[in-house]
Amino acid sequence: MILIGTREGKRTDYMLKAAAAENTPLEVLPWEALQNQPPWEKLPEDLLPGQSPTERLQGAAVKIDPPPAQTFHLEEMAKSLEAYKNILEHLAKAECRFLNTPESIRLLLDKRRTKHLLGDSGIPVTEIFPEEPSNVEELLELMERRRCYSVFVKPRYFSGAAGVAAFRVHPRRDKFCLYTSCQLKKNQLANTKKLSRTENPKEICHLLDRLLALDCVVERWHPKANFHGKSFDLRVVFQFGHVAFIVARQSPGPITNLHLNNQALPAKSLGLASPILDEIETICARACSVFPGLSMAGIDILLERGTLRPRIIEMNGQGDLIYQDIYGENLIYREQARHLRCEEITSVNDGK
Amino acid sequence: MENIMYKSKRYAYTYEDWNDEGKNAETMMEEILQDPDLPGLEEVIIGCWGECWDENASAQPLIDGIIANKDVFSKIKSLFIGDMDYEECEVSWIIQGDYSKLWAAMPQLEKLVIKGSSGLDLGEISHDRLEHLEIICGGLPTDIIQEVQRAKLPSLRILTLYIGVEDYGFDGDISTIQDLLSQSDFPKLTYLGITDSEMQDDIAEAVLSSKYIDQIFTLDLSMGTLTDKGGELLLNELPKHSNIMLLNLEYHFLSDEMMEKLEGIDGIDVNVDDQQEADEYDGEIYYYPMLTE
Repeated sequence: MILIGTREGKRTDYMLKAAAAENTPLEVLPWEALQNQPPWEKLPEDLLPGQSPTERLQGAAVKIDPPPAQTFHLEEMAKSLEAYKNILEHLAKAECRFLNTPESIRLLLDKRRTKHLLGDSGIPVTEIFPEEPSNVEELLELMERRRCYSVFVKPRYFSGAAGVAAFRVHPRRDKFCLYTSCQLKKNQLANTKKLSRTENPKEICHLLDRLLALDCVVERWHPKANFHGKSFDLRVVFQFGHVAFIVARQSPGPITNLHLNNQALPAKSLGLASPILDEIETICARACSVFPGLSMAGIDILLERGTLRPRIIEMNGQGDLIYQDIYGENLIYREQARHLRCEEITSVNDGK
Repeated sequence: MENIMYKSKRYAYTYEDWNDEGKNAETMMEEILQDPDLPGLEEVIIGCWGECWDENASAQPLIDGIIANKDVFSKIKSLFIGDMDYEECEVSWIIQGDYSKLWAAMPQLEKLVIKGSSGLDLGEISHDRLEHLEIICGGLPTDIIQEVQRAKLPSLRILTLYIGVEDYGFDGDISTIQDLLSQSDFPKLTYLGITDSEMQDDIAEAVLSSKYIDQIFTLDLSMGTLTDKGGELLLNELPKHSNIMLLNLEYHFLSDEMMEKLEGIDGIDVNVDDQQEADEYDGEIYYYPMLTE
């Protein structure tokens, strides 16, 4: 089994532990080498003697973890993302068994396409608007036209909370409010780990103009359910046809992401009724079936305030890092190791 | 009093209710009045009533509806108007209303919680049975604080005010709080919460030298910018007041060392959860209360 991941880090460390616990030989093919040696086919000899990655991967069971973050500047992240998508495209040529195929991971990087595919399949999602405003004036027109005065603006391709902004405007347009973790620092749009709030119209418009220039999607801001006075959403890790883990992400602000030091709560503490949990599982299963080649996904789910109806906010083909799990029984990665080992054995048995 | 459980029901509209179906405060009041559960309720909680941020869609129809139908609401002992958060409406955008006629219309009321201070008017407060008054906002105007200061509330046991910040409505200074503490008359007060302030250290000092410090069981200075300066005052003074049983400082800027010292005060249960770190920009240190909008 091969893990394409970072040389160091929690994902790699705990996948190695999981593989060891499951007696699954695991080799790490570091992203650093793939990214630093263009063209990617020519890797250093000491890393993969005499083999291109496609040759090295042939017949193996492969998991692709996300590449290491190289910058927190959003405009630069956009460039890194293009390189990442190119590498995924190349990896797709390898004749091997992937936990999640490079195509499925690549597709899920695109929030717009993902939402459309889910929506077209009748799966409840947070509403995404078809318009693609490229500046704040166009955004305000969109909001006015749709009479939707609270929206999320999200870069179309980044994962996590990178560049996400919750924007609210008073219908009279005399009051604005923006919650975001990104800031303009030295005229560069930077992602931070702290959620800030501002009502300064000039500051908001300037930041949104820069953000919208990055190719963003605009979604309706659905009020999330709350628990003990703080709103929450759910990160569900769904793999191999079942829910492997659910964690609630509780936030004092509208953007819930564990990178923003949000409080992670065991889903059980929410006391959600069985029918709601069943509906979540059903929705996740349906969502994963929309994407061929996807065995695992981290799925962010909102429960509507009042009704607790679940809606998918986002899906991530690499969204399986749950601290509550790795620091506990490491069940998610161990199950992956078991499945990948079986696949590898099957591959050998088949003589492929 | 804190643990009284009322038979309660919450009324709130979803986005679809108000955006697609045009529901508003008036329709909500009609629905409450028609609710067969109402006669059996003791508590009514009103959440989002629609476009709560619109001056033409304030809480007033709800307040007026209760007053006009006071007999129907005669069993309601607890009322919360504005139970919503940033997911539904910015707290500072909630348009409240005039409560001046509510006091006489609900003589049985024991607890009143109001969220949002925009458009809020309490009028002349006079009520024999009210035990709990709480105003949650990001900035409490001086005139509201003074209305509370003049209030005739002989049964008041719990008072919690979110003072907030200047940008969102608080237009006083520490003397405003000192006046409130010295000129108000709440003979039964046992829980005093002067919270969510950007001058929390000064408020700690004001409360410690107020007449209520020998009367209350619980002192709530939470959600503000309390630093070691205020912590030191509390540490030195509170042991002299054996009546204090609970000190709530949740959300604060105390050092680890000060937290430990405060938690060690004999006979007082101290809540120092949610320690904050000050922000630094260009060499300046900034402290923010929890609710500042």
